Amino acid sequence: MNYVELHARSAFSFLEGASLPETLAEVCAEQAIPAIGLLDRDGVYGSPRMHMAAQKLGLRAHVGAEVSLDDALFGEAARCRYPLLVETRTGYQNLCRLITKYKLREDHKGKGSAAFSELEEHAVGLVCLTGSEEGPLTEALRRGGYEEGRRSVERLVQTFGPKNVYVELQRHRNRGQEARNKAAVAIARSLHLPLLATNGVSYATPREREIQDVLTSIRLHTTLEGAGTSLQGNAERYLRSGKEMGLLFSDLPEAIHNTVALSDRLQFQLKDLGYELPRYPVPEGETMMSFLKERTREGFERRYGQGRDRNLKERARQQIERELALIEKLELADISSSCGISFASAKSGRSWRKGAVQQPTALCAIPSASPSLIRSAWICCSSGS
Amino acid sequence: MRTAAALRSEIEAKLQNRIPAALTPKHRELQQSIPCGISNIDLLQAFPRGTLVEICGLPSTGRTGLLHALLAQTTSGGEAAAVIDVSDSFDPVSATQSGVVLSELLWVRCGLLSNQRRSLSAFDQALRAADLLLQSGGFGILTLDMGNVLTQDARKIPLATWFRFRRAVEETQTLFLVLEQEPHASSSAAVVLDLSQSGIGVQETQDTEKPQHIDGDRLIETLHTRAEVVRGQARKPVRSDRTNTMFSTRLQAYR
Amino acid sequence: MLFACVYVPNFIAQAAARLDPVVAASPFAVVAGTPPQVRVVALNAKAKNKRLWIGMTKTEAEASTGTQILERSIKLEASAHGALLDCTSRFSPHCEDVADDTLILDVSGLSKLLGTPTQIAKSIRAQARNLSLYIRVGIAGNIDSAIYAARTTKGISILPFGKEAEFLKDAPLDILNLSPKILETLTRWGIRTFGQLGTLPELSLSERLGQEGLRLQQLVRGQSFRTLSPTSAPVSFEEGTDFDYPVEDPESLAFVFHRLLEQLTIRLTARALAAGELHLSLELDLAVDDVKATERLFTRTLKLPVPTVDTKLLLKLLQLDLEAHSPGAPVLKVALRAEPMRPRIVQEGIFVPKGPEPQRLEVTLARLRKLVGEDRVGSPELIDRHLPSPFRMVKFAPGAQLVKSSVASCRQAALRIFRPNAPARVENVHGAPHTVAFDGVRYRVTQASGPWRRSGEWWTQDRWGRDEWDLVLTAQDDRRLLVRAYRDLLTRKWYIDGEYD
Repeated sequence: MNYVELHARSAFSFLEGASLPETLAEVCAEQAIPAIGLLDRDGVYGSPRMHMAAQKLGLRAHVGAEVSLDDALFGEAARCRYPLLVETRTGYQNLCRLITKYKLREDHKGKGSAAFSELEEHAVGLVCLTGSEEGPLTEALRRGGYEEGRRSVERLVQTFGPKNVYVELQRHRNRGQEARNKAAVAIARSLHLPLLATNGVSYATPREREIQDVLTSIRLHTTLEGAGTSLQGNAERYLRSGKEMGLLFSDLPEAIHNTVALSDRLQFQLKDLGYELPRYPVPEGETMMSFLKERTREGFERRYGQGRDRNLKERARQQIERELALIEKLELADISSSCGISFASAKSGRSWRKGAVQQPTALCAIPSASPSLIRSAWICCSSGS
Repeated sequence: MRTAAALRSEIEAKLQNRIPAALTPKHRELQQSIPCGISNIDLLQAFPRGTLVEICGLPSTGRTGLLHALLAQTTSGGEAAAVIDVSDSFDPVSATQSGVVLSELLWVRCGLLSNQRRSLSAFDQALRAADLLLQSGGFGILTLDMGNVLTQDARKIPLATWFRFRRAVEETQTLFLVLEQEPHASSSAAVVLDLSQSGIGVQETQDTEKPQHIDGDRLIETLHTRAEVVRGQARKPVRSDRTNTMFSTRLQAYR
Repeated sequence: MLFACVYVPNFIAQAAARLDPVVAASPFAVVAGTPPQVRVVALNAKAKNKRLWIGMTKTEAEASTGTQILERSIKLEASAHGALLDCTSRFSPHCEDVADDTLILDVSGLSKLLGTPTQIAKSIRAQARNLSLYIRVGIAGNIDSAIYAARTTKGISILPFGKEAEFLKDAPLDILNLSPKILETLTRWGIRTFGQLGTLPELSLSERLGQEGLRLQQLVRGQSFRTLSPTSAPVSFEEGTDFDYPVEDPESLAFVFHRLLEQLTIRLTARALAAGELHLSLELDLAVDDVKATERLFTRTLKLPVPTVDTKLLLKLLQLDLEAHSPGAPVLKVALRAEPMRPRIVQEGIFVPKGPEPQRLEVTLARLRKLVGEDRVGSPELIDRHLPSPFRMVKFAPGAQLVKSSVASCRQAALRIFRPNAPARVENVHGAPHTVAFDGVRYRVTQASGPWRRSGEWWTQDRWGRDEWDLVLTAQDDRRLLVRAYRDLLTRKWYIDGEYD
């Protein structure tokens, strides 16, 4: 049966996912799953690698994130994770802007969260799922029962539109979860929303549940015994094949069909970023590349010129030539210059060049093909321009 | 021909100095009933303090659910409660889910001691433990859980023992609750509640034409119970009143 | 300033026989030393009458019929000294520990509280008698005179202010702890009493005996300016006794415990404290046949819910504990130590529901433990781990934690667990249980809900995993049972966990 896993998390949900994006992609290929949606916690860190791994294996990688949101349920503060899938480029921009907004104001690393109003502002182009154990529907059902659950889904429909909300169902062979599933199905029917079966993947294979438990203990700064019921209760959150998911949801086949339908809708891919790096203004008669080469040569002279170790000098020169060739090939001369200049500014105390970087999170998404890119930028910057 | 009433007043008058009101039964004020949180049952006022109450029923009829509800109300009010468990069957997990505060609960787990050659049977241990706890006093509810004991064994308890238990809780704030399969305490019990199963609620997705079992699809949701007050001095002092009511307990929760 | 000196005459002998009235009533001698040089170091009056003397060898003393020979015990002396300190602490917090057998109390200003000096002295003596110590009390305006008064009197001696020299004039000089040289000199001069020393001319005395001589003269004249250096209170309340022959039967042990507990409670009460914990240690005699114990030292600790000085309660708890945990061999030595604590003052509210009375509850719990077993009585406490039955038993302590009165609004079905889980034979059809047989009865499965998979503790030897099912079982007589069954994923066997009720 054709099935797409639309709610997975990788190790880039730091200490909450056990498998690397590459591993997930491999297992997807083995299980004949044509596409996967990677929703890491509060960021799109894993998406580039997932995209590359998926491309190599002929799969599609959908982009999205689990956004932490502080909400008030029954007068008590509740923090939920809203799974958001990117449908269009606008959606991607909105997602990145939303995440950047609350990350910039967080006072503890990893503890930032959005407000519901901000979610409403950035809702266009995104598809919202009702979530797994940490999602809004579960939290609402736990605190206020069926009625509160229905209200929370209604609010999502008002925010994202009836076509962009899917009621998520996960079956990990857990009693409480099944009770919630029954309530979710009833809510979906009453609000005419489509059902979506996912497996809330935290690790690629059942064996990696043990790694997941170890990571949880590390996250809680305790031992395996000390982590208690924060550990996994069983090993069911792995990448299930289409056949397994089909059997598991044979009473609700539409939930499986909808995964393929939704996957077809999500047209956005990471290669469609379509943004340009800002041009670095170079003096008359020079190109970005020639400017960079000249700065690098100056820096090289200053750093290695005086040294007596001929071997080291030769090695450094060869390395620099290799890297400059790579930069030229990848057309990254502008960013290297920008990075170099910003380092220099930091050194001399001048402020960031305005407009140098418009999308900080996206920048990190550029595949760091070689860490020595930074080094060449550093050599460039030590020329003190 | 003198009437019985005239005779009585004559005898009482003669004995007035030594034994006042010798032949008039002392009117016992029934104390307040312990609530259990289930509104239908609370209306019956079936659990007065200072009395012996029996909850009877076969397995899977809702007796233990009712016990947990009573324990929850008592312990969350700050009072201590005790369970003398003849077959060691108390489940702390489901008790906590019903709201029982475990730190206020004393659990006496009867059974054969492994390291002693001479030891009492679980049943005898339970009866002795009941005596000890009744002497100690101070509990809101004292439960003798004989729910898994077969009728032929439970019948062996002499009536004098039941009477002794009843006397021990009179004039105290303690409710002595007995869980069993059939009533045994006869006149020593102030109230006898008989429970029977009236239905089991199941929820599953429609379209179960397929014979193959679907993992996790079907949920057994509720246990419906019919409760009958067989013997009730609770509301009407003399005439036993049969009163029927229903309640349900859920097996599943959203947690 | 008024000082009282408490002096225990013949301290070694009194300490050795303090807890044994039988021995104290008969002639006895206390011996000490390394063999073969074991000599008598103390005697009681009865033994003196039998012509025994201090310094005679043990063998010689043993030759005297009817005389008990006791080994000197530092422990007994320490506990006697402790008892003395506790008894005097009742009267004054300012107490100096001069020697094992001598204490000084500052009793100035206590006339309103305790009465005249004579009354004070009498009370102290009475209190000491409770602790089986016979003491002498001397009261004077300065410390040294009080000491001498106590040493020289047969019972109580009160020295009026200014008249110390007069009252002490017949006191012998050897109570002054003089150096042998000075004592010899004075004896040669014919000076044997305080009075005689006091009347010697100062100049000549200082010429012959120097400053020391002058100092001694001042002391005997009652002119001492010594100040009290108070000793801090001891921390340990310990009493013990040795047996002449190993004791096995519980009644005799109970008798001994009772005596020791009485002493401990008197000492604790004197300091306005109570026992929070009792530590018992028994030294066992393993040389007898048929002995179950393997270690020489047998220790038990009793924690009390409320600090108490109720001897009866403590004795009862001790007895019940030993009935449940028998030492397994005859007992040679007993030591009981009480952990002192401030007695708790419990304010009972009118509207607070009264719980079980702590002292009585403690005895009841001990009795219950004896009835059903040590770990079968208590409160269950949930453990936050993925375990098949995540709870453990802890001590029942009602009212210890503040209870938030909020009851779950949804009524959960209760489970009755089968302990041990009943093995079952299950036939599966179409992936779900179809028939189940356990406890000799066969059932049809009319509804099957599951499987609910749980597993945990994978990093230990107790790794477990099970697939649970909620089943509606119908018997042949159409009776329906709602049970929870599971299949152990490691052994692949089926069990019935419990029934929903």
